[in-house]
Amino acid sequence: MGKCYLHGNDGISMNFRIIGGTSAPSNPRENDIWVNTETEITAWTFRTTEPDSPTEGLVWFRTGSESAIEFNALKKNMLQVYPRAIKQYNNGAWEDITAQSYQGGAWVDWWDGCLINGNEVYENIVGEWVEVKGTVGIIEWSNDGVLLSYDGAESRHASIYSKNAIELTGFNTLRATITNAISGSTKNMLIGVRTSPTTSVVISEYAAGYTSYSEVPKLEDAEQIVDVDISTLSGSYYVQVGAGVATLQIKKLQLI
Amino acid sequence: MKTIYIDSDFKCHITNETGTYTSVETEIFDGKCDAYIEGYRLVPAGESWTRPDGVVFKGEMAAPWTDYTELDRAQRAYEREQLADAENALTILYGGAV
Repeated sequence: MGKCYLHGNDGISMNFRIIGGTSAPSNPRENDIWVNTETEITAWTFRTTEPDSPTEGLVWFRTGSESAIEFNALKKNMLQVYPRAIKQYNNGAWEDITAQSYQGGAWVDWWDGCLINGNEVYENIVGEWVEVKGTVGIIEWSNDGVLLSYDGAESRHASIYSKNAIELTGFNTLRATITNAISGSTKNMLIGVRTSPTTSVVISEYAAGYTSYSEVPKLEDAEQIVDVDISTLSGSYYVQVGAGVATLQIKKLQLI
Repeated sequence: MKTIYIDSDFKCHITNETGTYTSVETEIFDGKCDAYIEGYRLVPAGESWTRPDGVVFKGEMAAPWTDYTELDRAQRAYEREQLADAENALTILYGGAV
């Protein structure tokens, strides 16, 4: 079956409307999509992969095989659409923007790709963050995200992994915002995606098990961005972060 | 631990066919077949790679640069061969009775 895209520049024939602006429409209808933007929407497209030749103002609704805001694009339930994220092409680059869908009488936020953001853990996407700790491993959640650390001299390991395999199709980067990274050795702090999670408490074995990963550079009490290239991956993978004999504070984890 | 080679784009190679690649000792590809390894990019610690869209990835980072499903398929075929070889060896050792 060939690729299938849904695109246009008006919603006259569809079972939904796309409305741009900086405030939510006052008289919404079911399946209205409010795109929160100051930039004129010149066209829109629903597709899993980034459009090849975007024009200014184009809104790209990234789709997947599941969505918290799925809807039927055509009348008579003939085309189910599973939007997952949204970008707009503005001044020659893609910008992350937000949107909401009006469903069941209420505005529902579109997912922005976040998996962890402070104390928000996105259980509707992740399922739950499963914790794996050595005997003295520490995992603590707060408004500053999640802390992976240790206190003692035995099995000094702490990691978390997504209970759900998360669909990565259409995302290019797993981005972690780290606010503290302390380690006495290399490959002791790893972020990445795997075809199956590990419950091992031996972090030195981790690197070989990731499909894609990045090592977190040591940087004490300062913010840094650590990116993992997932641009060639399609399908669902488990996200796992591990720290062995290390202290790692993750403020935000996001698919971009 | 094995020695692999990375080119100027940090793509992995089994041999230094051009004589210009950088050798890297790593354990992350232990047990992996050549086709799997050569579908990966490995950015060593202290170096960085800029993806065509401008995102900068700092090492150490390892990620497939080609369709991972093909790499996975090659690795599974390799592992099946390894298993068949091991079973054949056992058959020979025990004269057919395993």
